[in-house]
Formats: sequence, structure tokens, C-alpha cells
Amino acid sequence: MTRKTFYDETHTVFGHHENKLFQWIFSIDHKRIAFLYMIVMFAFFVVALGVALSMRLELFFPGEQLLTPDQFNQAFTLHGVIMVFLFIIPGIPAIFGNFLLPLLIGAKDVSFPRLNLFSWWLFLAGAIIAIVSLFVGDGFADTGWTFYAPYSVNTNTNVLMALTAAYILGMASILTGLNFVVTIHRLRAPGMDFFKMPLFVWGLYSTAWIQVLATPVVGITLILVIIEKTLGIGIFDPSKGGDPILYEHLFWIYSHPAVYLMILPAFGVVSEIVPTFCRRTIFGYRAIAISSAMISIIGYLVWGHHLFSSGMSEWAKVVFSFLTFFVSIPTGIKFFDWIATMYKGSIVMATPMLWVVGTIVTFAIGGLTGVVLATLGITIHLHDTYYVVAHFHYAMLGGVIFMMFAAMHYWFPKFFGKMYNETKAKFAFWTIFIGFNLLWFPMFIAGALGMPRRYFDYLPEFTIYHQISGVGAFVIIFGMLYMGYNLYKAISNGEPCGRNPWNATTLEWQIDSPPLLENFVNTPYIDFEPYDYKDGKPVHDLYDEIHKGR
Amino acid sequence: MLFRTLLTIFLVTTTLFSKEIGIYEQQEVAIDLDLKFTNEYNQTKTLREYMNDKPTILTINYYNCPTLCSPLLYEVADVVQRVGLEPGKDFNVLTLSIEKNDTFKHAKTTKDKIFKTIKTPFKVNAWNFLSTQSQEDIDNITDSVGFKYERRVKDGVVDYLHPAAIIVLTPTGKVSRYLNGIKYLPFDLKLAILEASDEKTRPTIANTLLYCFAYDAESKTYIFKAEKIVGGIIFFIVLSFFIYLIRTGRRSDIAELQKKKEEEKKKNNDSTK
Repeated sequence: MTRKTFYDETHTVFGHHENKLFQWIFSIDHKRIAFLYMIVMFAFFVVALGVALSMRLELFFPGEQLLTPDQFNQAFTLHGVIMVFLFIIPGIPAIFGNFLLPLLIGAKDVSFPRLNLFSWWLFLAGAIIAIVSLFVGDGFADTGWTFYAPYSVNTNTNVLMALTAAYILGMASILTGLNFVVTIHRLRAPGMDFFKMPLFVWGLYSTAWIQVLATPVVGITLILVIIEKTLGIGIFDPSKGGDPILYEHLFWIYSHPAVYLMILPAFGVVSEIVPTFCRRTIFGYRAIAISSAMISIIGYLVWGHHLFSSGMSEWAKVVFSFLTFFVSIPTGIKFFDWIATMYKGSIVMATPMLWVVGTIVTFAIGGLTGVVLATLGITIHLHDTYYVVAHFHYAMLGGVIFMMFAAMHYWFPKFFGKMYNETKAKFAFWTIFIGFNLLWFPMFIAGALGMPRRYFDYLPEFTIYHQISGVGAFVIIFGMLYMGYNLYKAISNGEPCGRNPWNATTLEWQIDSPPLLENFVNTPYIDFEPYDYKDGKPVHDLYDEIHKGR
Repeated sequence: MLFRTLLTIFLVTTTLFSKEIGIYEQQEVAIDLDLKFTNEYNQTKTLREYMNDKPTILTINYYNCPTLCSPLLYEVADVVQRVGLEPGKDFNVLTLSIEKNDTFKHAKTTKDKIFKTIKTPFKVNAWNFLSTQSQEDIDNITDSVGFKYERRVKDGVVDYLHPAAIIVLTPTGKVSRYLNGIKYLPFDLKLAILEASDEKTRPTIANTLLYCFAYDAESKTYIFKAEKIVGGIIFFIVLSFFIYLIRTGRRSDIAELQKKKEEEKKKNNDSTK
């Protein structure tokens, strides 16, 4: 008997559809919705990569080559808006969270499947508005992804549309967060209390709260800018009696927690991959779980470090500086726990593990340079330089997106039931890793020497750094394309790999790959820790219990 | 009568509003280099002679300015020392007074005050402080570069509302770049000077709003504690939501299953005992 997977049958919001496309875009199955997100997000990712490459080409030589100064402003805004709002923020939760959350906690779907589909449609609407604003009027906004007032109020480019897009994307994000919080509280398998949940679920849980709590603030802020722009009421523009610093506060009250919103699920991915490839239970389970919650709480209280050079009382600066140092403590706890798990383990260096180890290096650089930037004296010198650009790309690309790649390789067999070519995947990793460091490391030096960010031109003495970066950009993009090609080939040509090729312990590996429509035939009873290994083999196998009576 | 008064007030305000002070950036316009101005040593030369075929930083001030001009000029004095280029060789600086009653004596006093702060070698003629008795010539320059200001006389004291910015000119007198505000990064200025020597013109990106207001700005303070209101409401809603989630626990069918399993487990434990 051939098994029917979620690829063969689905529930849609309007009942049954004959049309295959409708079966996808109206599906309320969390796994299909994850794929919908994946398709849209990676399409935008490719666009943003292209824009980034055009900026690197412009900067390859001093002076004007490819882009005019105005186009350059629009290019970095487009790159930032797409990468932040359309890729990294929804990133891991929308793709891997949607696909895996119900599987990891033994549920048949999320709590509100229709709301889940609605979130994707909102996401799509926001994305379309952002794209439309490229082609009408004066083109895409040229404010940078932060939309700082008063410039965003005064510029003639399509800031209104970009703000509307960001607002709608924010709504999608809130609804997803709400859905996840309720799902985790209400739909955990019987017996699974909070400290028996896999750590990726803890990451998603902390993230979901940030989405619910912080996103409304930025939503309202964006509306205030829209009101100011259309009705001329002075809220942020000082020439109308407004306060531009207020904008910066409101914006960063959301956007700094958003940074943790990006990284926490990525940490969750690491906590899944490390025990699997070390074949042992994770060191300090509770510490990692609680540190996720700690990061999301402290992460709320550090936004002021974005305003160190924009005018704030000295006391506020000191407090924000120290709080920023504090947030590195729970992050450090996680890092030491992962390393302690690996210590004296017989590590299997498969591609996902390779990505994790690589990311520990790059994210450590990203995180530690963040501590440098949180230091009051030094930040004045480094503010708005390439040092900051390098720092957040080490944290965002070298942390979040690299972990997304790790997750893609780790759960690929679960998504498709097939295995990719391991040698090619490792080659892609090394290409990306080397290209990444070539691309961003020189920027630390250029930044420390005074190269400001967001400039389309530079002094001749910075040429060498820009050219090394430019070469790195080509290497990393080649690596990414090669990785994408390898995975794409594996969907059709990969070797079938069975349900648990990694010998992993968590629930998603105890069901068939790809999963059934409603995941579990029988809801399992979970009264054990998530990462139990004995002699390099998972202790619990619930396959028969879950599939009994099929 | 009331209607008339209101109409007059309306018309007066709109006229004032339309003459808004500020920098209106002009691209590809050149100032008239044949205009003659007097420098601080009472020599009268054309702008072409002052600029001497070099990129030039132009600042527009007046010498009795009580507020904005001094910090601006001190900042220029500071930044030109850190820019890594040689004044007089790579670029020149010109300061022009918008007050036609300013003389070379006023210019000399201001220059001496500013030059006291300069610690590096600086050719005296690399920075000239200009004045003229011709309002027409002053307007000619300020109009070409888009520098809109307003003269006010209060209690017999002449005062100007004017924007704060420096303007970098190419050797042929074209506006190359505006640097707004009263703080300039050496990097920005160096780039502007290098661009100007290549005869390139660019629009400004950052546009800090800063005006020389002679009146009290405090009365215009506008306080809106949006963050407190928004934060408070959201926090309350989320807290009640969290408490609700904790109190209700799992969905009823899963909760039942949990109960059943726990009972089974208990029974097993009892039977093994």
C-alpha cells in the first residue's frame, strides 16, 4: 500500500479543490503553509542578494560606476527592507516553525490553521505592496530600512507604500506569534510539560512572545509617520514641533527585540542539531531553555543603545550600556552549553553539524563585536561606520541565515524523504564560509579606520577593503547558488533515506518522512526528556505506538 | 471686522510661511565669480581671485551673529585641520557676511577670534572673511546657492534668521555639495572637496534641521508620551492573555488523554508494587 503524505492530500479553507494550485494557496495544513512561505521568502532573498551585489559592484572602485547616489540610497533601503521584514524576521519561525512546531510537540496542526493561512496571505499582500512601490512614482523609499524621521516625512520617494507594506507584514508576524503561543500552551502532547519540550520549541515560544508584544509598537509608529506625512501633523518633524528622537525610541523598542526575534529560533535550531550529531543529551537543558526566555525579556530593555549618539541623558546611556552587556550573559550560557555538549562527544560532522560549528565561529565574532559597540566610549568612534555593518552581518547572516541553512540541511530528509549529496553540500558550506569572511571581515578594519556606512563613494585609501569585500561577495553568492542547486537536485534525484537518517530523538523523526496529512495517527504520550541517548542510539522509539491501527 | 482681521492674519502668516528660511539645494548652478568683495585686510578682489582655481568651502554668516555663526566657524576651523588636506594648496575657505554694514574691521576681529583656535600650520590667505556694501551682490550669491534667510530688527538690533550649512564649491564656482548643520565629519568634508576638485555635483543625504532662532524655542515644546500609553495598553492586554493561557491549560481532548494516561501509569505503578 502506498502511503498518502501531505503532498497527496490536504485540507483547504474552502473544502476540496480540484485545482492543484488552489490546493496549495488555500491549504490550511501547517506543512504546506511552511512551503508557501519558503517559496515567497526565497524569491525575495534572491532579489535582495542581487541588490546587495549591485551595491558591492558600485563600491568596487571609488566614484560613480553602476548606481547613481540616489539609486544607491534606494538600493540599500530595498536590500534592508527585504532582508529584515521579508526574510530574516519571518524566516525560521515561518518556514521551520510552521512545519516543525506541531511535529515537535505531537500535535496535528497549529491551534488556528485558518489564521495561519491568513498570516501568509497578509505576508504576500505586504510583499506585493513593497514590490509595487518600486515601480510607481519616484521609486522605492531611500530612507534605509529604519525609516528615520524627519527624512522619511520629507522625502518624495514611496515611503508611504513601504510603511504600509511593513505594517501589513507586522500584522502577519503578530498573528503567527499568537498562533504559536496558543499552540504551545494548548496542544502539547499529553505528558509533555514545559521542560520536556525540545529546545527549538522554547526558541519559538520566546520568539512568539516578542512578536506579540513588540510588533504593535512599530505598527503604531509606522502609522504615526503615515499620519504625519499625509496630514502634516508634527509628531516627529522638528520643523513642525515634533521630536525625531521619539521616533528613534519607538522604532527601536520594536526593532531591537526584533533582533532577538531573529536569533532565538536560530539558537533553537543549534540546540536541536548539536545533541543529534554528538549522540548525547544536551548539556544544561534547563539553562538553555530559561536563557531563551531571559534573552527575550532583557532584549526589551536595551533599545537605547541605538541612540547613544543621537542625544540621550548620560544616565540613560550608562543604564542601556550595562543592560546590553547583560544580554550577552544568557547568550554566553547557550554557547558554553553547546560546547560542553560537544566536549568529549563522538561528533558526526555531517553537513548540518558543520554549519553549526561554522556558525558558532561567525556568530561569536558578531556577538563579541556587539559588546564592543555597547561600550559607551568606543561606540562614538564606531557609530554609523562599516564596523556596525560588519557586526550585524556577522550576527544576522553569519548567525540567523547560516542557521537557516543548517536547518534546511537538517530537516531536508523530513521535508522530502530524500537525502542530498553530502560532498556537494560540504563544498557549498566551505565556499559560503570563506566568501562570507572575505566579504565582511575587511569591513571591521575599514569601519575602525573611519569608513562610514550607507555611502555610495569613498576615499581612495579604502579601495583595498572594498575590493576584498567585492571578491568575497562573488564567492558567497556562488556558494549559495551551488547550495540551492544541490538541494533542488536532491528533491527529485536524492536517495530515499527513511524516517530517521540522523538517529535523532525528537518526535518529528518518529514519524514517516514526508509526514502524513495530520502528522500523528495516535497522539503520543511523552514523559521523558527530549534528547535521551544510550550507546549512541535514541532511547525511545514511539513509531509503532504512533502508527498503531493505521 | 472680525473676518477682515482674520483674513489679514491669514494672509500675513501665509506670506511669512512662503518665505521659509532654509537651504534650498541647487544643482549645477554657478555663482558669479566676477563679483568683488573686500577681505579682512581691506583688499578688494574678485571671487575668482580669492578661490584661485581651487575647490572652496563657502560659509555664509554675519560678524555680529550672537548664536549660530560662532559654533559653525569654530567647527569649520576644527574640521579643516582634521581633513587631511592642505588649506591653500588643496582647497580654500571663504566666509561671506550677509550684513552689508559689516566692514573689514568686523571681519578682522572675527578672523582673529577664530584663528586663535587653529593649532596646525594654516596659510593666512587660505581663509578669507569677506564683506561688501552692495546688498545686490550679497543676494546674488545667496540666491545662487539657495540660502534663504530673513532680516529682523528688534529693539534696534539687527538680527538674522538663517540656516546653518557650509557649501563646497568647485574651482569654477559650481555648487558641489552642501553639508548641513554645525557638525561636519572630516570624512564628509574630504569627500566633498575631492568631488569638487573633479567638478562633480551631488545632492545631500542627511539634512539636519537647524536654524538660528533668536527667540525662545522652549515655548514650542511638544510632548506626547506615546510610548507610555501604547506600552501600557499592550502590556495589560498581553498580561491578561498570558494569565488566561496559564489558567486554561491544554485543549480539552488532550487534557482528557493526559488524565487517562496518568491514571494508567498510576495503575501500572500500583500493580508492580
